[in-house]
Amino acid sequence: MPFVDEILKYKSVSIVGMEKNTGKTECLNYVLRRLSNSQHKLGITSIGLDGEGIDQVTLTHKPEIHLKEGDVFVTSEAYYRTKKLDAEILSLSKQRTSMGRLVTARVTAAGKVMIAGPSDTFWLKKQLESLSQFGVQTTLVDGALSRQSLGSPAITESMVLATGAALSANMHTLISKTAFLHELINLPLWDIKKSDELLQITSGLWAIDKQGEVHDLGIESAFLLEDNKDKLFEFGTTFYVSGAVTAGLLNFLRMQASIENTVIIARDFSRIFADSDSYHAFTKKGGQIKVLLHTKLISVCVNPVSPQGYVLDSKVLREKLMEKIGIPVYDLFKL
Amino acid sequence: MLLQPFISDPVALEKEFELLSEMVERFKNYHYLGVISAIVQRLQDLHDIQGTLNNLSGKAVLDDIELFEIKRFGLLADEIRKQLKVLDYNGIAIPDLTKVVEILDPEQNHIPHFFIYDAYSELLSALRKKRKALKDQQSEEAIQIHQQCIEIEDEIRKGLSAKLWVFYADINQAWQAVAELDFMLARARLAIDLDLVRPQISNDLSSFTGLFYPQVKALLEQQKRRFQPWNISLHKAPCIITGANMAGKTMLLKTIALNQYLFQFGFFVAAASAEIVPVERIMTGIGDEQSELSGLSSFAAEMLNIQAIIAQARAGKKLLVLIDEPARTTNPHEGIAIANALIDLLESLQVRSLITTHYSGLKTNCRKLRVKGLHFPANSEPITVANINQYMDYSLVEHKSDEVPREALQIAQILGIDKALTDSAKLYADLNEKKM
Repeated sequence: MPFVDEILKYKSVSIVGMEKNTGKTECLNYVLRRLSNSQHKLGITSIGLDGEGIDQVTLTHKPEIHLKEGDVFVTSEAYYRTKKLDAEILSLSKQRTSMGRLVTARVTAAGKVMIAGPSDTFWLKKQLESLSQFGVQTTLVDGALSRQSLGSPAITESMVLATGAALSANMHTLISKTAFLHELINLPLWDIKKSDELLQITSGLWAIDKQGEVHDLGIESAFLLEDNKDKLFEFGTTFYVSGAVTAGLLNFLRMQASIENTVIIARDFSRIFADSDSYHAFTKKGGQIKVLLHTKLISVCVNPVSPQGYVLDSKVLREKLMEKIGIPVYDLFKL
Repeated sequence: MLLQPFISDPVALEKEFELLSEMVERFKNYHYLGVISAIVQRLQDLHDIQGTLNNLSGKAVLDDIELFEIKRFGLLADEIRKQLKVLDYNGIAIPDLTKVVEILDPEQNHIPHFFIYDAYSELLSALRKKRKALKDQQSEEAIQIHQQCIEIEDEIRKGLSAKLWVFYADINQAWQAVAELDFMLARARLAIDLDLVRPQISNDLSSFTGLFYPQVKALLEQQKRRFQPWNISLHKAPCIITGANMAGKTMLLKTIALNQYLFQFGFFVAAASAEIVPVERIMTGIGDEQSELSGLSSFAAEMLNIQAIIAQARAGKKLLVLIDEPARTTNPHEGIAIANALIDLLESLQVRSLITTHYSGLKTNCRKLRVKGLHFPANSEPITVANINQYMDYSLVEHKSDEVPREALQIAQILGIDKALTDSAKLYADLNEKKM
């Protein structure tokens, strides 16, 4: 399988679903199954819990994944206690998630377990580093795309996207939504030198002047623009938006005289919440968006079946999507 | 975790200072720097295992995560115990947990990983091998074997827990000891970083030379300025402090409060040398206690605070009392009367206390100290807000008269307050002077 071979080239790969039931867990399990006879040392964790609207009281929605002997996984204490495999505990975090501390363990007899992980990007980064200390060569991250999630899949080197009829039962809509996300994932990286400095910033709207100096505009969020128009262009037209890049922000900037020179820097693609129309209207007028963290999209997996029972034509869907985005598209249920 | 108590017993205090002294000596000896930093590293690796300890003392069966925690702690505590030997420090004893680690390390790997090892049971080991060899892990047979394994594992956990219950006292003592060690190292570090000194314990006179407030001293040193330390002694009676505004009277009260607290919690103190009488309580009236929420005015809140102090003094408690300008928020006529009466009362109850005031005419025989205050060299540059501190002499002198220094207007002028205001105030002050 070409795309599984591709995965092994990276130290970390996030597997991200565009919507619930787009087959993310199937995708993860598929990769694990394909690698079940490989000597490659795998690690498995997840980005927090809050990204997917899991019922944290009943803890039932999160599907289990199947791990083989020798895999190293990270999960919460609560999930660890419900595991259906044998494992050796390697370490326990000091920091807590809403479901307790995180346990890192090595599978001693294959079986199933539910996975939870660090709740923020910084912690995830440290966790990925510590897994390589336990001999892990590639870590798979069960990723989430969500406004609520503090963790971003962009922290991993590469990514696999799961999409499907659950996102839209209309093939045209499904393809254009997926293609738009693909476009965002491919946004260009911004000048590397300053990116560490900007990544430390966690709130507000900032300007970067011609000399590369960073200035706090004193505007808490892009939602408060209307009342702060006067402050906005004091240091030029390059902005770092530490939080969400919204349609409102893009629409507002599009209507300003300086739109042709406007550059927005976002943390990564997952921070861009503008719809396709606002984004394209913005870029058509000459506005640019760049990111601090970039991840490589390896492939897209489609699930043509929606939870309501709609079934799209798998072959047509794959071909059309591949034509539109130019990277391999697979239907895991057909493999 | 541990709550270091406020220590009033002189013997207990002396023991704390002796142990701390020994640790400070270790810090000063560069041969020990390596092992000290190794211990600090190990302490940082510790997790809070209080929950697990509670379960252990309640004779609960521990799960894998809890067993992992105990094993990890046991290994760390043993490392720290060995490092303490290298440090040649006997002030804190960590019990030997080798036996505890052995229980949880049947394969003798000496690494802090844990699971129910095959070595615990031949039957378990055989069943696990049998299950792994099966082709279909979902088969009836595989599931049955798995169930059997789970039962055996549960029995092993029960057995391991029972073995560990016996060692609860040792594990808990080690847990307390590493916490004490952490605190001891932190106090020694602080003593060195802030240049603190070991206090002597006195039973009559508290006396400080070169007393300072570490935070302000550091701040001044950053600005290339010098903190002028105080020399002061406190008897078992009230002592009044007078002096100009900006003369550091409130700072002095705060410094004494801070140092008395450091002393009673077993820290070295911020002075060149100190002899201190341990007390049972430190009671202060510094700053405005006004509270809109409880509906009390500044004056009412202050009076209630003073009442609490009097009640403790009457109950025979050994106190240190520090009050900044009592009764200043009411009219001066009654204010002086109240301050006077308070000092008389503290005198008759023999309360070790320090009281600052701006009131003249206090009719009392108690000891009075005055901050020397502003002095003007003959050909000095003009005094401004920026350089006023250079012309302020913060040292304390015995003061016999019941008059207080009058420098408020002068300081207001230096601060650049509107001339119309200061000139007019001067006229009023002269007028009052003539009336008296």
